[in-house]
Amino acid sequence: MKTIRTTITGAIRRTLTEEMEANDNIFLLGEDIGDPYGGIHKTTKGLMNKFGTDRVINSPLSEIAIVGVGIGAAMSGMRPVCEIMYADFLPIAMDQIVNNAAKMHFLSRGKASVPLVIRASYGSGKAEGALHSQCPESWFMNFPGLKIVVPSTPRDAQGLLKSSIWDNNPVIFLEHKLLYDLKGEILIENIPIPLGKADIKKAGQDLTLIASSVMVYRSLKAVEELEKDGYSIEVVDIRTLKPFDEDLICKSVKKTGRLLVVEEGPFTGGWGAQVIQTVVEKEFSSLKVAPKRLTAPDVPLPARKDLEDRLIPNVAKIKEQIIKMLN
Amino acid sequence: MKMLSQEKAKVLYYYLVLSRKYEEKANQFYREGKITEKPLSGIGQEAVSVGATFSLKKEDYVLPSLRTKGAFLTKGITAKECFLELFKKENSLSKGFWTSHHMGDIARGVILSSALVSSSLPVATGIALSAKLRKTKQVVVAFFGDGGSSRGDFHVSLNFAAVHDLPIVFVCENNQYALSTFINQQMKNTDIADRAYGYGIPGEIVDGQDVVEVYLATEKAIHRARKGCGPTLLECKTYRFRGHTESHDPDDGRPEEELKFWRERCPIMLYKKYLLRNTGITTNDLVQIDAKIERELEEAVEFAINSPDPSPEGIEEYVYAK
Repeated sequence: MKTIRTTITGAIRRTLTEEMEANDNIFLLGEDIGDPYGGIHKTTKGLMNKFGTDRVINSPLSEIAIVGVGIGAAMSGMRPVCEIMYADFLPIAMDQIVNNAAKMHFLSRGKASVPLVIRASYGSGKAEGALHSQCPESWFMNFPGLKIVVPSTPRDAQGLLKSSIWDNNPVIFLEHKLLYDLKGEILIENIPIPLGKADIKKAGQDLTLIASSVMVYRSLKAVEELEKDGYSIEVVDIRTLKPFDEDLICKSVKKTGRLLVVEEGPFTGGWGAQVIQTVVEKEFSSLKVAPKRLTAPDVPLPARKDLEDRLIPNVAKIKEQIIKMLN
Repeated sequence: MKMLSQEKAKVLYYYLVLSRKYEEKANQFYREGKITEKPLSGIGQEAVSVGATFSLKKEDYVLPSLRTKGAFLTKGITAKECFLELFKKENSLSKGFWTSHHMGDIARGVILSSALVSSSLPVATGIALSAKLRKTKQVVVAFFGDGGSSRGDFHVSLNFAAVHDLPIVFVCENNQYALSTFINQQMKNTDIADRAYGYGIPGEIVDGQDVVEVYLATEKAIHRARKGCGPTLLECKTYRFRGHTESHDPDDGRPEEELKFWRERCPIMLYKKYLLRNTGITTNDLVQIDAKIERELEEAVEFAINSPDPSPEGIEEYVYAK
């Protein structure tokens, strides 16, 4: 298949463009997403110029409006892709997301649906402080009716965004701010990647390491460095958090007998605990050691890089954890 | 904008009385322990829910508020369907999974609402945006109460709708009480319509007990919305004749004089007087409509009571759309 090299930003922009070109009922809504500014991370740059102000709408500064209006439009024949500037702002729209979007199909017994995508940038690493650096990956796990997607590569972003747009449920599509400029090959003709399917980014024999987004890269680096010492680690990129790929994960642990989950977010209640619960329930007999999670502590993030760096799992900490589990 | 024909004037009466009589029956069922869902009575407020939706077209949308039963009825949700929902039957709109005041049917333009007051206003605004973008000329009438106007959802909806000139009419059923909170504890300026000026849209105070006035004001606002001139904020001053829910005392701790003043302004009684005085409609015409409603409700109750309960199989269905 023919490919082209671009960044995650490029992949997202290209996918939005393609889908909007093919379908009039897709439109974008968010703060500052129009031209010339083009969005806080420039993912929508050029789109308002191309599609006009009816398809790319600059919203007043209200996350409640962005999501709520998105829900209404989704219920009446459209497929909006809403942008929340920083995931830290998602809680402002929490009622709309969890009470309205997540439950509309259920309460209407299938008569109304909310094919809505909520895109949000997130993550630590730029010392943007406690309220511009949070990891929202686990926040919405406990609400039936939602889907949560975390792409880590341009190709994954491309394929998962297409699937998210065409999913008939509300999908929270999380884009890590450190990965926007990450380059990779994407397909010239986008093939959707199904939601709920993880991806083995590196095959291995001795331990299954599950991670998302930036943690995938730190894990791959750690695993690479440990290879010379004979460690064979399987790195699984979870890609969709809700629903997550139980089959692939269990199959991997069945093979390796060891499970380490690396999460960027704080310890208590993180999605890794849910994954471990599933593995313990379904593959207990395969486990050679107790599963472990490596996460940030239950501490908000300081607005200083050196302090922030001490809290988030890094390559050294991941290596240390792997070594502990294999010795 | 024109006055109603005799035929239409009678239909307006029909909906007012249907709403009233339906609610009286629902309240009776609750008192008798025949239903578990606590009715939130709109008795006394029928002119607002019926009058504000009477001029909507079939393809338009309505977002009812807590006690806006009349809006369901004018949109074609039958009393039968309302009773089915009340009794939480299998063949009700939400199959017993939601409540009779929040149920919806998007195909008939009734927007399923949140149980959180005002939470669905942004959703209604989104439907209006969709109508504008798709150029369908559909209009949305969205209801909320005096308490609802304190929520952020109210503010962001009016602001968004105003900025984008959306085809939506915001109708406030100001009955001066949000549960037990009197309006002067809810806001400083008790004329909610005044806020329209802040959003750059027209606002109007309407006598909520006068169905003709409500009808005329909303017809004008709906027309304005449909031709692309944007939203209007209508504040209908009205009153809840009964308690917050039927588990409350009907007076619900309100001052005697206030209760007396408002209960004497029954919207149905006022409209009857209006019809008999100003149109060729006779008492006999109205009596016939009353009788028709009585028969309709009896049949609806009978049907609902004998309908099947939902099976516990398939509770998990519809969590996700396919």
